[in-house]
Amino acid sequence: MRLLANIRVAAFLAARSLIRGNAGVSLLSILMMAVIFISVLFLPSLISGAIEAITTQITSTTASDLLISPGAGAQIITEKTAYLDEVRAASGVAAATSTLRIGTEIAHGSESNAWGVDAIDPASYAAVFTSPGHLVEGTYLDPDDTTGILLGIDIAGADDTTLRAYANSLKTVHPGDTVEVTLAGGARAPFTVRGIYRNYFPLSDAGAFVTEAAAARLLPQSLNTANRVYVKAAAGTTSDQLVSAVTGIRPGLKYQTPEQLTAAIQDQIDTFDLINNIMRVISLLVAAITVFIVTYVDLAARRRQIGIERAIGIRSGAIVGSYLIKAVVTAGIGILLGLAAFVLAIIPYVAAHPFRFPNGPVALVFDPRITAQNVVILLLVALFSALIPTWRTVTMKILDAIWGT
Amino acid sequence: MNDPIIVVENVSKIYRLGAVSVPALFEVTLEIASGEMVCIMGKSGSGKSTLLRQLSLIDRPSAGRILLHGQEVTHLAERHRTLLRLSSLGYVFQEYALIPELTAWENVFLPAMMLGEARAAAYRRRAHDLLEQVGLGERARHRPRELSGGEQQRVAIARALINSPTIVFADEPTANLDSIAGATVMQTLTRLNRDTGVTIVFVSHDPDDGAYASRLVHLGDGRLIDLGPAADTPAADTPAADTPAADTPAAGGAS
Repeated sequence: MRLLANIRVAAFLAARSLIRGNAGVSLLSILMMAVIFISVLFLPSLISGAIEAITTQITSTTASDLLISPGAGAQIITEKTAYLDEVRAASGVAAATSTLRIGTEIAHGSESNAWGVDAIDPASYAAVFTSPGHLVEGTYLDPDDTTGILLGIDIAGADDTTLRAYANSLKTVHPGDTVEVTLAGGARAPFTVRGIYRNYFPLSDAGAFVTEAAAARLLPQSLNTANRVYVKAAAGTTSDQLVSAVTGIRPGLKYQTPEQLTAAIQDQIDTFDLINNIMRVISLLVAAITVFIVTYVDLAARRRQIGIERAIGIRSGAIVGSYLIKAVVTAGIGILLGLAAFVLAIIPYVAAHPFRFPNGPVALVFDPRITAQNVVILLLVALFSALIPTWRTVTMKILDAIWGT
Repeated sequence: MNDPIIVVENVSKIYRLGAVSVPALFEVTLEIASGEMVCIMGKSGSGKSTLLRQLSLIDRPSAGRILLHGQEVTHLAERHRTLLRLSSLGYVFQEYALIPELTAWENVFLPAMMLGEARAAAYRRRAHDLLEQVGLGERARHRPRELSGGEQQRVAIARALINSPTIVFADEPTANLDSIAGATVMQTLTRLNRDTGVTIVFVSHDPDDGAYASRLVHLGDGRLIDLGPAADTPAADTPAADTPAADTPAAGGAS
């Protein structure tokens, strides 16, 4: 009964203080908590967005959901048309395509560099990868085009001196220009640039593609062979399920999932996580200090009142409870406000104006689990930050509280 | 004289300010009977408020003992003292010590909430009645800042009475009021003493206030110098101007 009475009085005092107290102080406290909560959410969302951007870039522009390559000792996958047909028919496969490396160097005027040139089937390639949709100049390859080439921005340069890779690029190449490709056997062949794409991903922006028809014209022995087969998963199918579905089609091949490929950048992800944890601790410390100061200042102004409340018989538990309820309610409203601003304003804004990271455009990724974790942590921080000064005040002598000594 | 409701035996109080000791009370001994309205008088620094705080369990004496209702309370644990303050004692502060966010009615009702749902429900009406008794029935929904000093002090008196205490302590209840408001507050206290029989112990340095008391207790330099005559009847609600208690020679009560 005593506990219930304490809770009732605490809730009563907290409610009246929140509703009728200093609105400016309450509003500022709420806004402060909202800003802190946004800062707590922002970095993890950005890091998740960066990691997701890398994964998406890898799967949509370079490796697909499953990369199949020749087994140990082999250079090519033979009978690739039949193999692709079987792969496409496998469970969980949305699309499949292949590439064959036919060139090793590209030159334009006095500029040249070692870049791989791959032969593709434009239609199936576009079904697996997004590069064909990311043209910044010109057009995509036509399947019957035997003289055209598609270049990534990091090869073409396209007079964009802001490119990181500009110094090593062909610098001034645009659609309609002719480049010379050094073929696998050492012969050179001219190709007319049809289009230039840009994925904002270094691993795929240095690509060059000609059609399988062009490869057949220049290297007839390459017909119906491939160096790589790429598989796009149907919605809801994991890479592991894909591996299981296609493993039995042809023995001796090597399979790599995006997870295995991104393992190479795990150091980056770990660093992001470390930064994230440091920033989270700092944000929570700021939150704790804010709540502590707000409560402390409030208590300093009300110390005499608290002494009087104790003198007329209000139990310390009820007084402490009222301040804890105030702190939690203020923090809770601030959190809700911050969450609403984050979800309804900041995430959509960043989605429309993504950050330009080296690995591509990065949007914020909202993770409900981490958000719930942060809500609980922030509420606990608010609770303990309010508890310390309140407890100190209610445990001092009544006269000291009243006199302010 | 009725049975003593307050017994003070050799109570001393020394405040310690760092390494400095400041004596405030020296071996004060007195008894106050149930239903009395006692005024503790003395000059500034005489120890009258210090004595009131010892009696009302807001502070603890350095030596001696205090009995309320025959129960030794000097060394009670703080939670028991809190319960006694809540259920048996009322306290009116010198300054209008109301909670600014609460209405007059809520300020009065608050101590009753601490007694639990059952008592609180029964005391809702009582809070209104008490405000009526102190002449503020129409001001129940007003917050302290909307009340005058005298009105706030009368709300504080109503709050002190909400849990039906047997003793009400008041520390210079008129000190911050003009003479008219002060007289109203004193008349309110006197009427409550007379009508309900509640024992009232108040502190004042103003002889006009002392005139409302049924007995005056004089303190000087922390020592009891005059106990005043014990009264069998409650005080009148007008000052006894012709025979002020302050002028009455000390008689009885001290041991």
